[in-house]
Order: sequence, then C-alpha cells, then structure tokens
Amino acid sequence: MKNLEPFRFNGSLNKVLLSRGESAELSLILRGGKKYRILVDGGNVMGVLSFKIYDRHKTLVFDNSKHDMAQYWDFNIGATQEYHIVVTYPVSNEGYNDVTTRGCVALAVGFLDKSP
Amino acid sequence: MKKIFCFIFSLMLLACGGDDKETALTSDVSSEILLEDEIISAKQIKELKNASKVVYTLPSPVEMADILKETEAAYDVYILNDPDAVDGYVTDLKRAMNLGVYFTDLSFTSLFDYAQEAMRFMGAAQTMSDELNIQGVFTEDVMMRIEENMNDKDSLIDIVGSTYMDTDLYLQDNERPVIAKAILAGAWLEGLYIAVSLKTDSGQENQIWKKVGEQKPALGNLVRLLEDCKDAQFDSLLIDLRSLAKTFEAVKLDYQSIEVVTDTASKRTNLGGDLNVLIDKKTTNQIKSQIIALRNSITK
Repeated sequence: MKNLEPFRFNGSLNKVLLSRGESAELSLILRGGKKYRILVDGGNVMGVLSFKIYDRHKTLVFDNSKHDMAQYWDFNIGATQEYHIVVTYPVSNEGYNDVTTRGCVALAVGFLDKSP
Repeated sequence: MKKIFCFIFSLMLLACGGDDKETALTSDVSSEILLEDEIISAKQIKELKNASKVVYTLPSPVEMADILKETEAAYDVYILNDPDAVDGYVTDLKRAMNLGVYFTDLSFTSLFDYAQEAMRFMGAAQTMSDELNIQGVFTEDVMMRIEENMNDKDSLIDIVGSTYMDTDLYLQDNERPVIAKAILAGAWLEGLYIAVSLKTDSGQENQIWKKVGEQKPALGNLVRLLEDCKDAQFDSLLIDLRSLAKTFEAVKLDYQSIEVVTDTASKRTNLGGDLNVLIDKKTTNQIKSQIIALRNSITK
C-alpha cells in the first residue's frame, strides 16, 4: 500500500462499500497553487481499483487505466475548482460472475504547496 | 503518521458502514459539441452516471486552516469560539457542530503556531467528543502526543488531522452520519467565519475574498450533503445555507481553460488554468453578514 508522504493528509478519509463492477463518485474541491496526491486503496481483498478524474465540465482529465492502474497519482492544480473522482471496483477477468463480492474502498487526499 | 495511516486502513477493512446515497449525476452536455467529441463526452457522462454512490466532500478543518494561512492575515484568537463555552451546548446537534467549530479553531491555532491555545481547543474538542459519546479518539495517548509536540507545528497539525479522521471514522463505523455531517458543517462554517472576521489590510482583504469566493462549489456540496441526510434536525440550517447559496450566486467564477499535461515517469499531471473571482462590495457585505449570523446561531 502506498502512503501519502511527503504530502500532508487533509484529514478526510473517504470510504465506501462497493460491489464488483460498481462505482462511486467523490466530488472534491482541489485548490489552485497546491499539489495533491490522490490515493485509492481496496486492501488485499479487492486488488487494484480503477479511478478516473473529471473536471467541473465532466471532461476526463485522468484515467489510471492508462498508467498501469496506478493506485495513486499526483496533481499540480492551477485554479481552484471542483473535480469528480470516480472509483470503480473492476469486474474480474473471469467475468461478472460474483455479484455478491463487496469490499471497502478508501480514498485519501494529501496536499502540499506547489514549488515556486 | 505513516503507521497511523496504515493502521486506520486496517480498521477500515473491518467495517465500512455509511449512508451513501444511491444517485446518478445529471449532465448538461452542450448540443454544439462535434459528433466525435459528442461520442466521447457521452461515454464519459455514462461512466459518471453509472456511479452508484455519490459522496460530496468539503475542505477539512486542516484544509480550511491552510486556506486561512495562505491569506497571510493576522492571527486573532478572540474571533475563535470560546473553549470554555462547552457547557452551553445541550443538544447532540449543537455539540456536533461545535466539535467541528473547535476542530477548525484547533487547526487554525496549530497552523499559526499558537500551541498553548491549541491545547485549550483540544480540551474543548475532547469535552464535546465525550459528550457525544465518541469513544477511543481523544485518548490520553493523543493528549500526551500533543503536549510532546507543542513546539513542532507540523507534527501538531498532523495529530489534529488524524484525530479528526478518527472521529469521522468512528461515527461512520457506528452509523452516526448525522453527527459526522454536523461536525463537517460546523468546521467548514467556522473556517468561513474566521476568513470574513480577520483584520486585514486591503491587499489581504482581496486575497481573503478570493478564497471565500472559491468556496462557492463547496457550499453547494454542503447543501447537497445535508439534504441527503433527510434529517429534520438540519432543516433550519438548510434554510440559512440555501439563502447563503443564493447570495453566492452573485459571485462569478471566471475560469481560464485547463491544460492537462501528464508526466508518466513522475506519476504527475498538471491541471493548469487560472481563476478570477468576481465579487462586488455589496455581495461581500451580504455574505459576511450571513456567515456571521449563521456561525453565531451555532456557537451561541
């Protein structure tokens, strides 16, 4: 499991119960002039999670499936605005055959001042 | 902090309660989008609509204090809530909202390096927490760590952050979402109250109102978050918050376009752009007056 260091944890650990194939959306304000680390974790039970980030216009700005399913990513933010993070518990490679499998997904955010 | 974080993740796997509302996003895709873009946008919107749970967040007490620190306004302990006023809150809702208020005051005093005062606010938060029967958070160990780190601002603010998180996790795990949301509401409103109440010169005042204006989307999230609770205890607060949101409609957020640049090797994406916050004097006066009244209705 990756951690947030050297980013300062913002104090809010968001967690949600997801079934396989299910998604949750987190509406989050990211501040201009800051660096953020967004980290998702499903523990050993759920394995890797998919997460995508959309801006306030619902335009996709990040998709971890294009980056080896990275479970955390850093962002330099220019202007304060609302972003939407969609976390998905992927369907297994064997197919959608275990609809009762559920797990707890955590999403954590850390922040730092942007370097000048 | 790393050990605490790993431990909390372990606890989280044992219980993952909550009252997440199942809902779908609405979309307002413009009809002027080109066909190819329309297909891409439609797919993205579908992905968003398929999210079965929507969680609205607000800046935490630690973030609110950081926002205030950015303004470089002068610290003023007298605008904060009296830590000795803890006996005056008799309903759980008032206690919860003031626990949030004290968390922000605590974050504020910690970040501004006023450790002695931070201890007083920690004491107030502990009292509120006890009265709300929140167990295992404000332990002797936590209070000792605060004393030991009184001269280390960074460690102090980390402890505040983890204590807030532990409080929220406890309430989620014990299915007390109303209390959790009341704490969050109180914390955020206190942050805004401090921002509009600080003594500043004109340069700082512009900076502060930019920060206040940037909270417009957070206010929308707060209203939605409390509406989702469907709890009558929030009815009066919601009336005031909707009225404040109406005033905030006059705050214009002028965004410049985002440039998205990703550096795969560094695992980093730059989401560029700029934001001008346009807000006139009449609106700032109205917002200030409403925030002060709202906050006073919580703390008095």
